[in-house]
Amino acid sequence: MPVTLVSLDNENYVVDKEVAERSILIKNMLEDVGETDSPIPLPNVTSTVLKKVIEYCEHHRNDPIQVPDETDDPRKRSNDIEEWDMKFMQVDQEMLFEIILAANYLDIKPLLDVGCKTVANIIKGKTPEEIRKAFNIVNDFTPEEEAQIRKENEWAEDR
Amino acid sequence: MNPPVIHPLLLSELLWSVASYVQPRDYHSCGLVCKAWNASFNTLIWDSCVVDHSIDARSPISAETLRSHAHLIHTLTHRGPIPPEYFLIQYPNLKTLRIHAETLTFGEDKKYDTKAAMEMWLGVAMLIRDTSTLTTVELSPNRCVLANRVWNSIEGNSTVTTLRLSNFDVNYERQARIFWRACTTLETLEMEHCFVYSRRRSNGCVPDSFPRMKEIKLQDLRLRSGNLIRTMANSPQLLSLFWRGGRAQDWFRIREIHNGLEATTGFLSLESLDLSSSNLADVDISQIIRGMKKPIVKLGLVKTGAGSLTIEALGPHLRTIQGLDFRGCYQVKSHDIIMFLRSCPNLISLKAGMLHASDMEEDERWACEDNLRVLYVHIRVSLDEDESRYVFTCLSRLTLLQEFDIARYGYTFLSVDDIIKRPLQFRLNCGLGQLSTLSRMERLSFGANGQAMTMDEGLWIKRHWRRLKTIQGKFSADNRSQKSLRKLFREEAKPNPIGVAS
Repeated sequence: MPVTLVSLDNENYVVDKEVAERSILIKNMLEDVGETDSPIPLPNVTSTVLKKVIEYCEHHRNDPIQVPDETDDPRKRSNDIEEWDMKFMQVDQEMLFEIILAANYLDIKPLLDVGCKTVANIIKGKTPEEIRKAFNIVNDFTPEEEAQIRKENEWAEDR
Repeated sequence: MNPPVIHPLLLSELLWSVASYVQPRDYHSCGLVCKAWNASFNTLIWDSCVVDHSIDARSPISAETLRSHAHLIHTLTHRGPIPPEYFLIQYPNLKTLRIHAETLTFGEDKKYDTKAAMEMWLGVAMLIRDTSTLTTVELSPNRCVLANRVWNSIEGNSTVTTLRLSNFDVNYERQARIFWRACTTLETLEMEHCFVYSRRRSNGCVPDSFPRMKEIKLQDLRLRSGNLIRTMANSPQLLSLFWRGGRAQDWFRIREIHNGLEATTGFLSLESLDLSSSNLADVDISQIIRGMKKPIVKLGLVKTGAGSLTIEALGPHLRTIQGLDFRGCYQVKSHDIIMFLRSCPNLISLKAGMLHASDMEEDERWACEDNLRVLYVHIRVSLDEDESRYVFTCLSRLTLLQEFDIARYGYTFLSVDDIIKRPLQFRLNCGLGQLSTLSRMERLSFGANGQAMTMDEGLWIKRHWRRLKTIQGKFSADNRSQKSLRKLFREEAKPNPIGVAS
């Protein structure tokens, strides 16, 4: 049965229920509402982002539901992104963050993970200044504060 | 590009999600980006803190800095001799304390200052006593200083349940008595390369039992352990015992125990036992197994004399066993290994020696096929290609398999019969294609020789086992194939390049 999703800017998207249910938020909504033809409003997601998210869900429609793996070490790895996902994430940064925010809102854990991994990969091996530049973050430390933190955390520099 | 109104990476919820994928070596840089990042990453940086005063350390954290971050620290590691001012710090959230005293050189000329070392252990004792959140204490090494106060403080601290010692000596009867008494309050005890005085005089140096102990792990102990074994056998909650390098002569006491009156009280809860690298013979092991009251879940007997008697003794445990390790047990034969696969429905991990396909039946079915995740066996087949095919058919039902190792473990004697056989060939024309059902494969190991794979097999593996992380061994005796296959698999292992264009 198809489901209609409505974006912030009132675009309608008709997708299979199976695809829409990749989002735990929508899945719970559908379970609460029961069989219905009425469209589902998603007021936090713009149409460009929703299109992207649907594309992801279409591709991963048959994936098994993720089960947390207790054998994995608590620090998660960031280098095991699938090829398709990697290509999917080759977007400009604004879009990348929008996708992460949408995945967070729609509760699509695997998509949120891929987004965060992508960001973690950008951070990898960069200096603080390079990170600020990469993400457009303003340095709000005074030089003294920065020097002090640098000194206090020096022991952790190369671990 | 215009920065958004609120930068998404400054939202703490999102920053946390990202932070969990950042590698520890990047924490330091991230902590210096801006105030919001500093707040998030400081908790990660200081969660596990290392204070290094050893000789080759560059710049240890000052006591002052440590004090101002003490509330963030959950795991504290002290390396080298600890100056006294560090013992004045209180850690409100400390869970794990590690003291790696290392060489303990104090001052410039003094190679080993016993007085300073005693003061340090006194400080450690105070720290343990005063930290009410502490659960785990790890100490190493100590060869000659008395650490009575440390044992007293562990006994007195009701939250400490785990003690790990390595290269730690507990000399003299008086000190040992205090140490063993402290152990009666613990749930987990690990000792490696330790000496502990463990004679049991009439006044009882080793206690009768460890009433709370759940797990004991011992490796290369230098002690007469007959008394200790008796105490462990009497510990009513002991679930798991790992004893690498134990000596048979000590276990003779066990036979006495089991033959005597205490037979009903020995090892009441034990369900996981590892006696690897001990000089125990088949008959000893079978006695120990017969003495166990609970169904066995895990059993490790690497490089022991385990053989037919042990396997017979395991009879009542076949339905419950989940992990078996018989590597380097040359008396455990191919048909025994197959018997375990056929009759242990809950088997998750099996590590053993050589398995001859000729001992398998053509429509072989294994009871563990819905559970087995780890399989380490050296499978040998005859030149008959149908044999390979039915081995692969059988393996193809192990749909949960994650680790598969067909290397020969250690030195294995090959009989004349074995030589005319060869290791199972990972070739498509031998039936490898059937293994496309093993979609969870993560690790594959072939050992030093015996394979003759080509690019076709390499590409097949790449295409069907998407989760494969490690593949090792010699893929082919032909140098060119070996080289090109290594290149193919290395590409697979490489981390994905960064995928964002700005």
